[in-house]
Amino acid sequence: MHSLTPLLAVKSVSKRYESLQALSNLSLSVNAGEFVCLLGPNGSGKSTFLKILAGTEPKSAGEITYRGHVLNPNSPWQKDLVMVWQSLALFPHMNVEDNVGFGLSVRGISRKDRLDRVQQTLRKVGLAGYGARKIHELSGGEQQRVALARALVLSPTVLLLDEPFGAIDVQLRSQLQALLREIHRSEGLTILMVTHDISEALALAEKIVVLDHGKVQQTGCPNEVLHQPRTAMVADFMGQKNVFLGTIMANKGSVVTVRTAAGDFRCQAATWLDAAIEVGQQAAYVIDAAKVRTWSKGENELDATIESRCILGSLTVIRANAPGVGSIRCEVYNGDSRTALLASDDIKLAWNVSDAFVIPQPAASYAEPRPVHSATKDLIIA
Amino acid sequence: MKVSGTLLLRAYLCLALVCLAVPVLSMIWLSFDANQLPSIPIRNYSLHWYEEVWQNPDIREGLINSVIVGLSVAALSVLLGLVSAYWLCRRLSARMSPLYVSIVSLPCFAPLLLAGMAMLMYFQTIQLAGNIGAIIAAHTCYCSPFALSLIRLSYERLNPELECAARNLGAGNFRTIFMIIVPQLWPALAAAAMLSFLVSWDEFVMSWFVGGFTKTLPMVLYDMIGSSYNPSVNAVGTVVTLVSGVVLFTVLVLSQRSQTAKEARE
Amino acid sequence: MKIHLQPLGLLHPLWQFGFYLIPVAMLCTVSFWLLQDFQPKPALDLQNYQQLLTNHVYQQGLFSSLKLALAASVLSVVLALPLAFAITFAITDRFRRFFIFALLWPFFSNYVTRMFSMQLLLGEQGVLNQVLLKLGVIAVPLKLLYSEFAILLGLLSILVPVSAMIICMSLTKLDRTLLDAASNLGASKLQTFSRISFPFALPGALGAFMYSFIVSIGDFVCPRILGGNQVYTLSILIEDRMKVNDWPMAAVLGVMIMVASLVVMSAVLYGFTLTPTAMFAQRQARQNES
Repeated sequence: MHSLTPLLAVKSVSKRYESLQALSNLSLSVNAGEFVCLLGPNGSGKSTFLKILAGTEPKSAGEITYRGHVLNPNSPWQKDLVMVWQSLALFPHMNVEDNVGFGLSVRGISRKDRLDRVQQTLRKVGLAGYGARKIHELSGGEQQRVALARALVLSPTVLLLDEPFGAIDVQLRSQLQALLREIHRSEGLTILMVTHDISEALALAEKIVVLDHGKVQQTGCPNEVLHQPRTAMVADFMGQKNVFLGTIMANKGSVVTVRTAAGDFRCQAATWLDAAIEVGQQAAYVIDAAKVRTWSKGENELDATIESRCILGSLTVIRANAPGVGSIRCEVYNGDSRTALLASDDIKLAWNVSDAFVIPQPAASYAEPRPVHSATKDLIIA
Repeated sequence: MKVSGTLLLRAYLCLALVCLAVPVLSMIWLSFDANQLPSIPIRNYSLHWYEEVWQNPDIREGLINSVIVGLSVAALSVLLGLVSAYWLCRRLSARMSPLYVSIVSLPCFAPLLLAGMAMLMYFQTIQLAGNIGAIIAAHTCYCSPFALSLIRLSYERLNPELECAARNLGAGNFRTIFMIIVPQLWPALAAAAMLSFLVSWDEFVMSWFVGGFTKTLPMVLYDMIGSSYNPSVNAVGTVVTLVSGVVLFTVLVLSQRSQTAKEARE
Repeated sequence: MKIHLQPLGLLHPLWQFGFYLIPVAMLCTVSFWLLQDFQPKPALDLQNYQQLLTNHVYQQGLFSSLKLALAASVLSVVLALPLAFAITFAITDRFRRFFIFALLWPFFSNYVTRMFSMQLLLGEQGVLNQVLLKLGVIAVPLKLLYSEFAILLGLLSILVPVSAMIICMSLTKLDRTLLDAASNLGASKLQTFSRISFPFALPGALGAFMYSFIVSIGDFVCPRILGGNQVYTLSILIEDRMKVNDWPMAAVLGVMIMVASLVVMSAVLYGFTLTPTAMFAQRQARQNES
């Protein structure tokens, strides 16, 4: 399915602005036909990295190889990587047809061929007949499609997307996401998408790369990143887990005791991490939101005060505050009869030892990208 | 009764405008006076002086020189201004940009007398003086900073991702400039060209030093203003004033357009 | 990024360097030359500077120039300030363009013709005198022309419009809501003006002063046309010297003008840093860094 040599290999790329280190030692590999999402908070360097790949931003250090050739802005391979910009960057003085056909006209394609290909691509994105319209006459969603068409018409090998679905409403966004998925499937493109929206990444990506402060925190398939975080940042960022910072007090048998500001809790070691667990080490204690019970006793218990309740479909997400550890997220199924629909604000949270794990800090230093388990595609949409 | 401050300010403004306009208006008025000496009130109106001016070969030559210089200076200033604006906005770090702007705007910070005198000595040494090219070079030094600041104002508001997109889609530098940047900046570029033309059209001091026997229109006028009163000067002055008025009006309209176009886009 | 455009950024500075900086540097070296047989000869001699210090005519010229330039600059700022305030505050947005056009148009009506038209206006047989005589206001024509007063008037007619525009530009930085806030806090109109509006006009006023000084100290058209043979400024002396090919002396006088301009410019730039709005901006910048 995927060839053994990656299509795009990024080795130790760094980018420094005057006083700001935007990217540090970033290494990544992308296989042909993969849908990769770069996920991370604002300022984590993901857009910068994409711009380096697009050839409009020079890198300070490191090497990027594409199909085995060194990739830099002047090499002929650069034209295989086409980008859809965050601000869309549609040329306001041209109409839709000229915008979409711009890349073709630059490559010297004849007018007739250009028109044909533009019409074809516009049909593909659902904008048939929009050729003569001016950009400012289009709605937000239509402009996004034009931006997408402008990139697709060039039949790129790699499609780069910088937060393409940022400023549009949810319904439109899911339509466009479906379009993107369809195009990925039918054209066999390799897609690299930057987003800060976790649910979008989980919905679309085969491989997720989590970035923070210009460094790769974890690379893996969605299930891994969600349920087997390698650093506290990843665990916290994905939103599904509660992370408490503390110190390892004891490690007996397979049970680790961690002292946090809210008390001592017990958990198991994370089987996917290689780091050794030493007593006295700083660590992050992680418990999944879905595993926190509000109705019964458990091996770990914590008193908390409810801050808010939010109904999300079949779940109620409860945010409770415990002194010392701040906000804790719990998920409760609405149909669960064991839950007294919590009239009072004080609750006791409980969870099992086997459901929690510990990540020793500093987080396992992450150098090699792990092989993608393409079979494990069971995605959980938060 | 308390007089409103606004009213006072408005009155002052109108008074100032009248005072500034009176010399020019009286010159225009007198250009139609058939009499050799100015006499109020005007008894005979005629276009006699305009005919004289039209016949005068010196004035014709001065006019042609002024137009050639003006157009060349406009083109050169806009070119230099565009390139520098691109450099300032896209390549230069924020720390270096005041330095760059200062170096480029140097001619505006010293009396033109100095520039003219220095350039005359310089051009005579390198055998280039008394040449229309020398005048064009001198004027461009003075006009290009104005062009730069006008163009830069618009350029800074341009979305930088547009150029990145063009590059990513394969456009080289010339395509990016002429197909993407220029079409968006055209009001600012036109305004800069007209302003440069206007400043060059009006410029006297540097031309006087550097031009030698190549005379621009203001130089011809200066020669005509001897100790005796020459009424043809009124006619020339009127024509020159009208041309300036039209160009100034266009500059203001164009800069208004680039302003509203920007706001519409935002 | 494509590196090819790198050299283009140097185009403009190179132009200024080649056609402006080098000539000015040459001017400074020429000031040390000597005049032999009516031809400038390269040398390294301080003779010209000595002449400047001893010759009474040059000293008079320097004094005249400075006096005129300072008077013109101060007056232009004083006259332009109310204009700038009028344009920014007393006019509705719709008419502002029209008033700016009306203000700038006489300025752009060509320098030489302006001076000529002032000559026309102020002469003994000029328009003003004729009108006043006809109206019976005066019996004898006023001798307005060929005096320092006329030169000042001429200079002001070119300085005031641009000074007003410069001050306007710094006034536009004033956020109107500041004025509303001040009045809401109880300040009277006068207090609002002096403590809020005026400080914003200060940088513009300083800039206008600098511009006016630089223009008036280098101007020879005004003193020549409107001053007749009464007033000798440095600029007229330079014009004279250049006519007889006396480059070295003209260069020395030019250097004097340059020095005067630089002194005023430094003083103004220092003054900029002292204005309240500049200090505020500096404090903001320091805060943003930390």
